[in-house]
Amino acid sequence: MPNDKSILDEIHLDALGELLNIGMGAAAAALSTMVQQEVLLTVPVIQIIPSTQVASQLDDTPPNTVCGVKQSFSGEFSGDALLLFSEEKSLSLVRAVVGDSMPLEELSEMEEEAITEIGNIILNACISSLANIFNDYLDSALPEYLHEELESLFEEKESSSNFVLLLKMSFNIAEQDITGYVTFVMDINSIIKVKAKINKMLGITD
Amino acid sequence: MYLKENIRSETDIASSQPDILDSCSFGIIILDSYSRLVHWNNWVSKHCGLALKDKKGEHLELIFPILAKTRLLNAIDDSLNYRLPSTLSHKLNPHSLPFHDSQGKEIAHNIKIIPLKQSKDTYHCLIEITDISAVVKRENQLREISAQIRREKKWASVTLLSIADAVITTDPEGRIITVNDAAEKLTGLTRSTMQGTMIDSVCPLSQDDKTSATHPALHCLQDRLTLTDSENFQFISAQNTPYAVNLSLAPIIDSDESLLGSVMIFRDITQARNASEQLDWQAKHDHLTGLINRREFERQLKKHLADANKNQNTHCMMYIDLDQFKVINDTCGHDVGDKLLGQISQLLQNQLRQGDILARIGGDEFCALLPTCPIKNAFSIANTLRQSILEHRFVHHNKPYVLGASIGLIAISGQEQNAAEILSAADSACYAAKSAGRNRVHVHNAQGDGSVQPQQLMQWFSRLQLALEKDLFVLYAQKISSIDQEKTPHYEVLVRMLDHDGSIIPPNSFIPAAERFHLMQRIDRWVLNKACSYMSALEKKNKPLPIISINLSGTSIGDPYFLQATLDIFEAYKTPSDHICFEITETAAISNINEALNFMTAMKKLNCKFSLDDFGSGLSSFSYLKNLPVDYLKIDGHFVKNIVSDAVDKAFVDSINKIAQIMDIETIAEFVENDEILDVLKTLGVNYAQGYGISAPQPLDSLEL
Repeated sequence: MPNDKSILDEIHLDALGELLNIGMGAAAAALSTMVQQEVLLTVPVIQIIPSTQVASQLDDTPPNTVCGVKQSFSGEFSGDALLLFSEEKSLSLVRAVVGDSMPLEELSEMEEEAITEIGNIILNACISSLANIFNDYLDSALPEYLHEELESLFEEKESSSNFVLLLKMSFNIAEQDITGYVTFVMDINSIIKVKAKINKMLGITD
Repeated sequence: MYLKENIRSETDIASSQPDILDSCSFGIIILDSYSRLVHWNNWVSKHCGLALKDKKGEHLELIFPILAKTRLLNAIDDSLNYRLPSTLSHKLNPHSLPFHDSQGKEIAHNIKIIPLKQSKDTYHCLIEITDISAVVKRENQLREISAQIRREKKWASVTLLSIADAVITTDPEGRIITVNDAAEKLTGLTRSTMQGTMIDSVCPLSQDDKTSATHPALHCLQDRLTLTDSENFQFISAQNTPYAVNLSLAPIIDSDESLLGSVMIFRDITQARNASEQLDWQAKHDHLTGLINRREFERQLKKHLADANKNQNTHCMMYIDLDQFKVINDTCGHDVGDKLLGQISQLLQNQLRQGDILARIGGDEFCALLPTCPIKNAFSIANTLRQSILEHRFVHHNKPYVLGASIGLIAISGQEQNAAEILSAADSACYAAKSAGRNRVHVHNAQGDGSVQPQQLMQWFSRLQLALEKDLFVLYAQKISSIDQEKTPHYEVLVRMLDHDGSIIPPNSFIPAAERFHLMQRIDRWVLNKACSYMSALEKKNKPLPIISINLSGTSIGDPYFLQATLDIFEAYKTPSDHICFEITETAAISNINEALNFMTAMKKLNCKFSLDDFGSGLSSFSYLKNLPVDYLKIDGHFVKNIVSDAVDKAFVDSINKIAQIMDIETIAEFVENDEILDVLKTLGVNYAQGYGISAPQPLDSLEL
């Protein structure tokens, strides 16, 4: 199995981060308009890791029940894009955005819809950023709301060939800093394609 | 042209199967790649009030101008240009499409925007609108209920925390869930320590000093039993402090009968219990001596009466009245009297058997209940008590005082009506003991011979009243004869009562009753009146006047009105007051020393004489003698009658006489029954003699002067 360095170098990750941050800017603008307050979105960390390590990377306090949004995409390369929050963080985010005066202990059905929309905006931004690399479109399915344990979320993809592009995301909204993660689960072929595209974009020859 | 075809091809799907889209219960809008309306289903027409045929081909933002600059348009753009699907939540986009229901109310909706591939590069856009009004309503209700629950929870928790009683709740297994501040304080454990632990391990409760097998809270859970305000429990805190607690327990049962847990409420009642025990003790006991009081004694008596009735057990009861106590109390002060009562109660208690019940039921009255005791034994115990009181030496300011006790004894037959009847009979027996001369035990006889029954006492009261009204008294006189030289004749007047048949009732039959019913002063006045009248009559007849001695009771000399009455009588009869001598007992004089001195001083001014009666029987204090302006000292007859044979009595009489002579007080010996006694008295130098050996009492009117 090739190690992650051999898959994507620092330089590739930096380039990806650059691209994604541009996309995030657009998403943040969309969110700001929508909630009528300033929303800042940044991607401070970007990593590529085997999918088996995702759980340990995201959180170190089991049981790690997460809330999130999943959007599957396909095209030049395919996979699942996931935006994940700890349960607590998802509540904070929704409440920061919606500002309900009388919060419930769990996300209500409508709040789930709201977080799906937020995830949709961010994931759309990410997917289109990736699509830009290819000067092409990636077809994407409708976003789905997730609420499950971290381990089981990555269980089905537990093949050694699967890698995860892990983006740590920082939401700054209504004076709150909320951390979330975006993961792109991709197979090795997709990664190689991405690498090649970035190399081409940066004028690097293999 | 190209566009038209596209639109047509799109509508083909819709128009070929219009029913499919129209029968959908959600809205469907299809836009072409220029965001122009291709189709919408019936649901949309119905809720926006616009016909599809009128709007087909128009830009969506022109059909619905309200959409300008909304996220919906951006999302449509993303869909058409970037093939990105979007979801728009009602929460973040509350007023997207202007759709209304049949009542004109805005429809809350979620929107999904899906890119529809038309050809390789051409994408249409499908907008799916879902009515979520019901969800919104449900959520609002949920929030309302949740807010209400939160408020109630807050309310309950603040109430719980601020409640002064300790409150602990448990789950159905008995594990602690909530603990309020008071519970923390009482258990001495923190909330966090207690939560999750079994209640029996941190809240040990014992009942009546024995730890019960099952903790009451677990018992409550097991049997779903409620316990309210039980005060039999003791709680041991973590610091090993025992508390008496008032405990309430209740299972918490859901509406479906399932057990949710239990609530335990307890309160430290140690202080309250101590206070109540103290009150209880005080209610049952005499504060001064620590003995039980009358009420409690009656309760015990009642219990033993029932036992005597049911089990034929013989119980005895005695009524003890201290003789001379009043004198000590009045002369030495109440503090000293109280101290003496304490000593006496200890003394009595020491003589009684284990299990005997001693009570102080009045000033100087005690009662003892002797359970399962034959009357013979009780009599012997009573005599032991009497003897021990007599032998008790009470010393105050270096002066010894002698007490006596009159004891009435009764065997409880079980046939008595109630405790009061027994007490009353014992009281009567005690009274009889007193009447018979004090310092003795009188056994109550159920047949009524000897002791005076309460009914008889009441009869005495009415007889005395009648006698006073009808003048049914007569005066007798007994000579007080001068031993050494001839002097003015001296007589003591004695009162007798006439029975309805004319027979004479001796004084020891009615004087105690008169004392008891406070009739002595009236009798004294009657006597004084008669005596003065007699003297006045003698004077009118120019007869030689004797000196007459008149007995006065303690109540009379202690009463200023009596002094006035005496002066009035003297005035009325022009009484030769220098021929009047008042006899008062030492006890009467000392009990009311100030009043007695007032009376004596006033009468002395009229040249009246005073004689101190029964000297030697009571306190026999020469120091009092010094302070009292008496002319005669009457030596108690009990010493006199044995003077011939008893050297001690003789010495006693001798010493009294000697001291009296030195004090310039003349002495009178009582009970002089024969010449032998008179001879001894003569040798001792006693001045006067009185008794059957000299002269028996005779009616005053028949005196030969």
